[in-house]
Amino acid sequence: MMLSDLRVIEYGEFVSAPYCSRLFSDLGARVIKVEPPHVGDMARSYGPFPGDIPHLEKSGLFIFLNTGKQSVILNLGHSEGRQIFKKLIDRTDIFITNAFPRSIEELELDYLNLSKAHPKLIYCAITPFGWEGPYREYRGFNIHACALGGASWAIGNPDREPLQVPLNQCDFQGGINAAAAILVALQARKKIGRGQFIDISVSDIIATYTGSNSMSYLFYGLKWRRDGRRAWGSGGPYPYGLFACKDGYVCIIARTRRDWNRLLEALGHPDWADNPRYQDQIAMAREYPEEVDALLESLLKSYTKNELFQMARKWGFPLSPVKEVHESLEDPQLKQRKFFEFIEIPEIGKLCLPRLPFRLSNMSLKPLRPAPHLGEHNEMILVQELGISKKDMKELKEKGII
Amino acid sequence: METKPLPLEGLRVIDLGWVWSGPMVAYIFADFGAEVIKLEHSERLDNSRLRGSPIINGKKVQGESIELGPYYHNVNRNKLSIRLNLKHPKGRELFKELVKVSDVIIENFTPDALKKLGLGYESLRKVKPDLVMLSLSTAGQEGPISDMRGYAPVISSYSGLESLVGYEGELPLGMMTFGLSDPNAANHGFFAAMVALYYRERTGEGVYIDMSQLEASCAILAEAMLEYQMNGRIMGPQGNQHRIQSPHGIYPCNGEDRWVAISIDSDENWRRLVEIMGNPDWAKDPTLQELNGRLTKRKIIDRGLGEWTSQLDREEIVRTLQAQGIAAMTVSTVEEQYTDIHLQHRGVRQEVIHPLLGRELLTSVPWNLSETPGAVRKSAPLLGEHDEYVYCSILGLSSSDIEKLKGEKIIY
Repeated sequence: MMLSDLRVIEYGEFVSAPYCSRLFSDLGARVIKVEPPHVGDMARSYGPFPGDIPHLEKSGLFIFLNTGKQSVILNLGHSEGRQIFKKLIDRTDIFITNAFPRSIEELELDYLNLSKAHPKLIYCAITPFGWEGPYREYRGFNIHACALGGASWAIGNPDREPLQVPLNQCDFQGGINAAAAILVALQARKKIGRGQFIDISVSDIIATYTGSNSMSYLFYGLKWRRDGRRAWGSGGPYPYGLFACKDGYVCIIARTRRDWNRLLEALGHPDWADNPRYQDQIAMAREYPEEVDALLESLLKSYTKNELFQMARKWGFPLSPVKEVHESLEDPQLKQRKFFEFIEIPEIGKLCLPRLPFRLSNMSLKPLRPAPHLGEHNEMILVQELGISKKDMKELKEKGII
Repeated sequence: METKPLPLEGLRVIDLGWVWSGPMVAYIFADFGAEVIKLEHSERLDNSRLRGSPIINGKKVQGESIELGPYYHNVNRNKLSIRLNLKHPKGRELFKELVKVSDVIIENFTPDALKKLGLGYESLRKVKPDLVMLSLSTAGQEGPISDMRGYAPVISSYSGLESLVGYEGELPLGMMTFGLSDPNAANHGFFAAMVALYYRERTGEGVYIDMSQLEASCAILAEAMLEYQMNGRIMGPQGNQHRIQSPHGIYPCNGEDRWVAISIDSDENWRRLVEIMGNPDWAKDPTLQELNGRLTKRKIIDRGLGEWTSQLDREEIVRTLQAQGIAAMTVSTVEEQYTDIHLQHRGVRQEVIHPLLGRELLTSVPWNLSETPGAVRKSAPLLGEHDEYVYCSILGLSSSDIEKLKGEKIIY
């Protein structure tokens, strides 16, 4: 396995830090997840749950994000808990957390404290606003990072409230950006001989995404602003947006003259291309998009999403059905590439989970292992590996530390 | 000031990328010190050069428009630029010479495009056995729709992401302006390439990475897949709701088009919020004291909270709520990135001077590494600016060789 020589400790909850360490786990690293007593990672309480009945071991999001990891319960609020934690950090390459900066500092588990005894440690903190700057003490979640990052401003109807990027997608960006940054730090460690602190802010990430994309708008007289199913001013030549068809929506991007002509020809109206009003794709985008939308949709209404998709493939212009997420579970493309894997969860049954979005030539992935039960590996790690005696374990349990 | 080392210095990367995702992977390498050579040809330019001349201070900038695009400049900073015609046999020979002395190739062509030119991974590893090559295609190198043409929103429509964007209970709107698919794919791609380099250092082996942008979009939508598998429920437009937080939304503030995002993640924070609002009658409902009640009565809460926020300035709301430990943030425009004290402090924008456009504020790679930070150091190259350096200094061609290749439109 590509990363089988790495050991990762994750003190994380919900999405960003757990997604980050799951990527390492999928590639063979050993990932130990430190969870607080009682309820553990907040994602255990998030769901979805079979039959909508909450259960710490049955949360869909938790199961997806934590497959293959090991779970240790530790009360870090207690000094003995922190002692054990510091032993766990021995021989660890990477520490990943998305805890609030001040709470980590109060526990004296911040980078300055840990790096003294562990100079080679790579310490990665992922938070909504980062460890430095005027908002470092601010609390936030996915929706707040979307808001500050300039994404929400561009999502929704023009006359209504802005929308978040749904399903914690911004927090996932925190996870993948952190994982990539950690690999840079591993490369650096070979050069400089020591680890370092990595400060990842989800708001920064979203701000750079919008900052990059908006350059195609702001420098061309277009607003970076929400405009329903269209990009504002189509973000360039028309068409660029979601369009209604017989049974839902399709996304069409036919910005080049060639693609626009192909689209009209495929829909049986090549004559449009001769009408000056439908030749200037910039004017269509900026001056009368509603008119063109209505004309285009009157043609699209005769076809289903799938018929249009087949048509686009035959004629060679970019169009996709707006699918529902669950359809991917049966998608022939994803199936052929073995993107999904079934995993048997004792309490639930079989679940189909996505794997990594890339294939590496020299590596076949190991079968997925289930996510750990809360504290499932306490015994194995604390007794067998750290050498804590059975008697001490009993005491630690009574004190509420493990 | 102490100069900190660049962690990827010493690596040479060939960037065959187009538009956003491929070039973004390459600029991350460049920001951290790799020597990145972007390869184009005048008859086959990166089409993000073709967006026309920008308008700055109300005036269309004069000059060669392919050199003037701010978008292109952003995603190609810190790189070197060469021209080479890969459709010509001599161009391909020269390309292989360059591959011999490079470490990584990044490409986001349609599958088979490079293979048809005889420049697939199998051919290239013959000249460079420990090559790392990242192919970042729409749906992967094989499979029934691997030939699909797709820009980012086409991919995120196919994955289902766009169907989740819209007001609750209404029809989907998608997020056509924002565009998550490209940077999401780029970061997954950069991660995979770095994993491959890590492995290469341990084993001496090269790695080919077949990455699917569609899969990168699907990989982070597991929640909706599991809702369907567990409960047969299809998730539609999500609005601003949250599974285990209420209130959770974006609310109007005093002023035109002013908004604030607020969420309550505990019963205790709900009580604090009610107090800050001055204990309005609607909030006294005892069933609202617990999350389940607040989730059920989301609409009532959103209306009441919105009435309160609409009388106040957004900055004041954020300060007041955050002082009590309640998550709140202004909904910012993208222009506010230049002025927001926090984003400024964190260096989200970095300045370079472009020879034709002057001062540009580009987007950083937002990873603050304490010992080996990346940085925007050089503006995007002009087309072919580094022909001489790459062909003469790296590959050892003479000036007359180059003139000849230019004459044959191989370097063009």
